[in-house]
Amino acid sequence: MKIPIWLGQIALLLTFLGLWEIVASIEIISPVLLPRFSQTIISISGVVASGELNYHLLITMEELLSSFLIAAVFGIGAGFLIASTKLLRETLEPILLLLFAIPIAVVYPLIAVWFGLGVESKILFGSIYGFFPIATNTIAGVRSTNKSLMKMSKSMGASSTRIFTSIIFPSATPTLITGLRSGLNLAFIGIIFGEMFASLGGLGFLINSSSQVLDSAKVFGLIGIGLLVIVIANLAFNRLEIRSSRWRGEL
Amino acid sequence: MRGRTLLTEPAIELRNLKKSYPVGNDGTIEVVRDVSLRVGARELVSLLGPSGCGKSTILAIVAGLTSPTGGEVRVNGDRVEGPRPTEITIVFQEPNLLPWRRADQNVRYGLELRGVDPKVMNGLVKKYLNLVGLQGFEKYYPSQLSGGMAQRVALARALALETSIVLLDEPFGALDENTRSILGDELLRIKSFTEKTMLFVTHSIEEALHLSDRVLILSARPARVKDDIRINLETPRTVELRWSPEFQEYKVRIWQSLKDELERDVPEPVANR
Repeated sequence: MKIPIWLGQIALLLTFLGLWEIVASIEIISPVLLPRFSQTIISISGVVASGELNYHLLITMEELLSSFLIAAVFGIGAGFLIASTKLLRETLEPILLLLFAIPIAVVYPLIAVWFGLGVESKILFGSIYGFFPIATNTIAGVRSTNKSLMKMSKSMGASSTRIFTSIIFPSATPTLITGLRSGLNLAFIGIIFGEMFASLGGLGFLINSSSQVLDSAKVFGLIGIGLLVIVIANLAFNRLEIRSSRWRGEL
Repeated sequence: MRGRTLLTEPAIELRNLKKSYPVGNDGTIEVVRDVSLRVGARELVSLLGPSGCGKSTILAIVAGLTSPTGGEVRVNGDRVEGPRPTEITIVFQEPNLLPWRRADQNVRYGLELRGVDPKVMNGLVKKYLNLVGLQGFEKYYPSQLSGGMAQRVALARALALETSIVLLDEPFGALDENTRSILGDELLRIKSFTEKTMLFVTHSIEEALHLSDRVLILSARPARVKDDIRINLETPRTVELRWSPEFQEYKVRIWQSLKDELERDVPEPVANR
């Protein structure tokens, strides 16, 4: 009998959690630094029951969804625009890649000063983070379009609009989805960072305030919640990626 | 022998066609020099020449994908200024199938661009997929098809547009020798009852002889028409005809004409960015 891969992955996760429990319970590391897994669960259940998590998680999700949407709209739009002509692409793509390489965190203090401690500064910061991978992957996707397909389409009388919708856009889609995935992940990092650095609420704020009172169990639990959010989002993207590249043949 | 009446109006006519590309900042490369030729309705004419001699460029100009730097192309009497999808289709060396579309959806593509009624479209797709022998493979993705089958889909896509002229740019060039011969036979079979005019680019003497009513020998770059040879071989032509003495005589004659051009051994043209 063949063991399904997901079963192995769950076994690996359980082994990791079990080892964590054992190592923490023999207390070779101080419980303040490394709480037991079970303590973490108890602590996080309390946070859930009191409604505290619900309140902060909703803030983070609002920020994440807003910045992802903004980053997607502007990233895809800018990507297709830049890729549309050689002049724009050769001028702007290197600039875009250079900006992408800058640790954007350095501008966060400015953004916090301009937009305050509320959700707006996080949304803007997350959008900037998400924008670059989406734009650069859209450009790469357009570039991966087979020129011969465009020639074929043109010979059959396709207008530039039809060439875009029937050839360029579908060619770029798989790369574009990869870009959206990185964009979402980076927006999440940006938002958590922003919340930890200067904010009034959100998962990052909660992690930061708990760590300041040395409530490690709560911090670990909250990190777990953050991981869960991003794992679920990535699983959704996995399905989307498989669907969008089914034509690539048997995998 | 096949009797044929050449209409007064040729289906395709090239008059003093010239094409050069700019190279670098000030240079130009001359690919086609003063090519004039006529293809009669329902004729199959091959352009045979050394690789890189500009024969594909000539075809791209006839298809309206590239403009000439001099001279003109007329199709059914009209000057070609751009693609004419209701009169001309072109089949390339690569099948150029849309990889995210199944075989039948690929055949639909050209019809969708034309805005054909969906019911009519379904009928045409079925008809031409059957014609190229692909019944049963309608739902296959290009990645699941062999090179020969993919090229059959490309052929069906072109034929489904039911144009009077089909241009073929080394359509079987990427296939192995046997598949190539079989597809050549299929092309002749299809041509025998669809009455199409075909302009066929190849660098294989045998393929040109097997398929053509006339073979035009092109010089090494820049292309000129060097020889115009009418092929009076029996029809229907089968692969077996290749071993007949008449076929060998033609082959020798074409070889002698082509040999000098091959010996000039001009390197491939510089790709135009």
